Amino acid sequence: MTASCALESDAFAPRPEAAPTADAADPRVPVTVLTGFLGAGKTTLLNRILTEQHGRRIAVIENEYGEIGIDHELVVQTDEEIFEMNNGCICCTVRGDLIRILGRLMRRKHKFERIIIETTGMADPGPVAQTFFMDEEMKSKLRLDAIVTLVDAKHVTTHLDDSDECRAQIASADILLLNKADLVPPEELAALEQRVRGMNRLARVHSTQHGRIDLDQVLDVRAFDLDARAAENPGFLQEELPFEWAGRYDLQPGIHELTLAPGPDPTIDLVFAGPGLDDEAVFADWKRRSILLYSGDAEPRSGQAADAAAAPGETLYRLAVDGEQGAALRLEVPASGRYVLLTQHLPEEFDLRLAAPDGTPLAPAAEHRYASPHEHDDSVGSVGVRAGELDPSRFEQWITRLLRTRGPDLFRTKGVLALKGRPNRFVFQGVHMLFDGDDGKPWGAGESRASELVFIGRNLDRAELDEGLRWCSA
Amino acid sequence: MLGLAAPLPTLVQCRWRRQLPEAVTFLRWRASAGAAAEALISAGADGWIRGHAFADGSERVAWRAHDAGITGLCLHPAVTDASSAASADATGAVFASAGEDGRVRLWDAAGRAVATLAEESGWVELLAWSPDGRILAAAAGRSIQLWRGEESLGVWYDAARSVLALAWAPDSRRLATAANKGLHLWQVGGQAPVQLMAFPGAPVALAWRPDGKSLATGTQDGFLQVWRQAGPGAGRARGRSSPSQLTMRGYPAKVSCLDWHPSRSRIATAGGPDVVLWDIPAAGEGRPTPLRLHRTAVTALAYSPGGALLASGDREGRLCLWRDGGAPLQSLALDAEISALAWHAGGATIAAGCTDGKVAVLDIDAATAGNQA
Repeated sequence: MTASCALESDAFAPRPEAAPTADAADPRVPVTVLTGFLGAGKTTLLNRILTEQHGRRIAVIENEYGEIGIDHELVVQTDEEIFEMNNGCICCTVRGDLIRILGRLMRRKHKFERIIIETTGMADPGPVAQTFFMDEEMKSKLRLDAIVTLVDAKHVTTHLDDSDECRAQIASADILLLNKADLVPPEELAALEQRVRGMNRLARVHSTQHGRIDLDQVLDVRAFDLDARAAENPGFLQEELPFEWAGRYDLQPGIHELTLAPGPDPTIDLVFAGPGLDDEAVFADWKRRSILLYSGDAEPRSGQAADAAAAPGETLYRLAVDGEQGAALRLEVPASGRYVLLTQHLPEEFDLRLAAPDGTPLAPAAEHRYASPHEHDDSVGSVGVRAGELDPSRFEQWITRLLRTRGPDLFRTKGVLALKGRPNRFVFQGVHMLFDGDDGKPWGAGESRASELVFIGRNLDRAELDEGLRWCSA
Repeated sequence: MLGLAAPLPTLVQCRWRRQLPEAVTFLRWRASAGAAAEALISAGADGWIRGHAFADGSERVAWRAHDAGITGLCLHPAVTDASSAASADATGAVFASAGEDGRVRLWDAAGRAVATLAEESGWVELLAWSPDGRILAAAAGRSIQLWRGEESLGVWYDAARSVLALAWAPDSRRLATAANKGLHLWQVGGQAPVQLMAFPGAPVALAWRPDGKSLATGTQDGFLQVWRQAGPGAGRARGRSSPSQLTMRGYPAKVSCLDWHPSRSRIATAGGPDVVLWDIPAAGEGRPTPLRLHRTAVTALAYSPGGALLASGDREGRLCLWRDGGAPLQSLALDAEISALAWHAGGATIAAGCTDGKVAVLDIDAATAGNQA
């Protein structure tokens, strides 16, 4: 990533020679950043890396107040010092201590093969990451490979609730290790995993014990390379679902009645589809289609008896839920079979009920719950937005303004975009206000040119981001 | 291998070159004194200090001074300049060194340890002998230590900020230190330091003008800040703007190289691939002259003792020689990042050290260079 700042925009200038940035000949030394609270197991993992990579020239930089117990030839202790860059970006900060130490370590004949930086438990990984894009010398000699965040599965829940640093570390991560997984019951671990995935959709999450993980999952993952993984997997956002619940029901033809009690929100969005939902592939397809429907316009329903019945299909219904009366919606079932209701909120929040034409209450044959950013009221979360082809100059205007104003709250941004007039995918990523973009793989003949962007940040407003991206549509 | 990028005119001849085992971190010339011949002293990232004869580069002395890379090397002023008025150090120390092993050490002319002055847990990154050779200053982290001979004169400590650079004023009475967002001036024997300048960035280099009336610092965010001592009549000028502090911007990278011309009010600077000369008048704005030959970031800059020539080295190993006014004279390829430059006192020989351990000593045809000037 060549750093640009949200104040500049040369990242968008067409680059005729699509220079590969991730070739094997890249002489830059990879840097892995290990973050996590004290006791999360950073030192254990570090010792494992040093043991398994014995004989490699690895320099370890750790903070002065770190956990002890690293037996390694080259360990440099450092005292975190943050410098502002004064280029107009309020969040452009770097770690001055790292620039000095790494500068010296890189001015050697016998070069290091790898650098590992262990941060303090309370450190914000932002300035560490930005150091490798903001300093010309660091940029030319070193390559940030990934930010690896370790989480103590047993104790992290309290930190998640009360620590900005903990949330920043999770939000900044490329690799999230839920360590000490053996110390918590499986259902608790599953809930934690859902919660951290809700905060950071882009990270790869692994459960570990004593930091035991295949090191290929942690080292040389090239998470900051623009052309590598993201471009090969344009559907990397698929996991994120804008709805919290899907219930699959076996229904007979006739008018069914959906009733809702007053809940926490004045409206609820839902999609009704079927039949044929007993087929898993059909269900997966409807999940995908619903994602697109949720980012589009909704058809309002008053929730009163006068409403027209809702038919299954590609419609997003926005049902008003009266604070006292609740809401009712008639569902028209044309043929018998399995149908699905995909709802914006969990059914228990509105005491959602479905009744057969004869009034018999129906229970879903299968139900699915999906992690939601609202579930824990986490201020840090991920929002994915989608659109078709984008107008390059509009996108540039929008993203520049967005990063400039929201940069401090945006830990990571990644996207694969279809820019009008460009035959290749445009791969985009950012850390706070720094961003960069480059050409990825060309769009295939049969592929639909679609744009997807994920933001990981604090207090994100999905509607605002959605609206912004839609304004960019070509 | 040493190759000449431009074959003619043959202004520059390689006197000798040596391949050392590790990166060169410092080069200093030692003047001849009595029986001791002139020598080039090198410090390395392998912790070794070596002395090479001026004439042919033969190794005269070599010892392992530190268990890790050497971050600071000073020669006592009495041995760098035969005409220096500085009296020899009371301990007989000729060299002072600081290293990544946290030590500050003193050595005699033969490389025998005279004293270990400090043993810190972290790197000692900065070391400077006062020009009169009386006081040695070292900085590690947030503290600055001072010694006269082996006697500690105390520790100055800034709880809030690391010391990023230090430089003795030519009068040897004041030590300038740089920390994030400003410069301080410490008076030897005095109490609290005086804040000399405040600015938004973090300094990475610091240099006094030889007359002691100006001080320049380059910052991480690409600014050059120059402090000027207020001259006579400056009182009237003060009302207009701030005459004592100049801010120069526009560098594409951190301004890590600074060297003042020995007599003119001119400073050579680099923050990126261009060398920028600034003429700093006693009042008013500075005037820049950019010198554009390097393709990679400039990593070392040095004016010849008389100021007739300027040498600049860069990350890919290109060494450029310029006339005082900025006209290019010669360009050579050393093939590895240039980490140290040292002009011989005669002004006609320069030593260059590289991160691959290469040391090259080059003679410059002074007459030709002078004629064309």
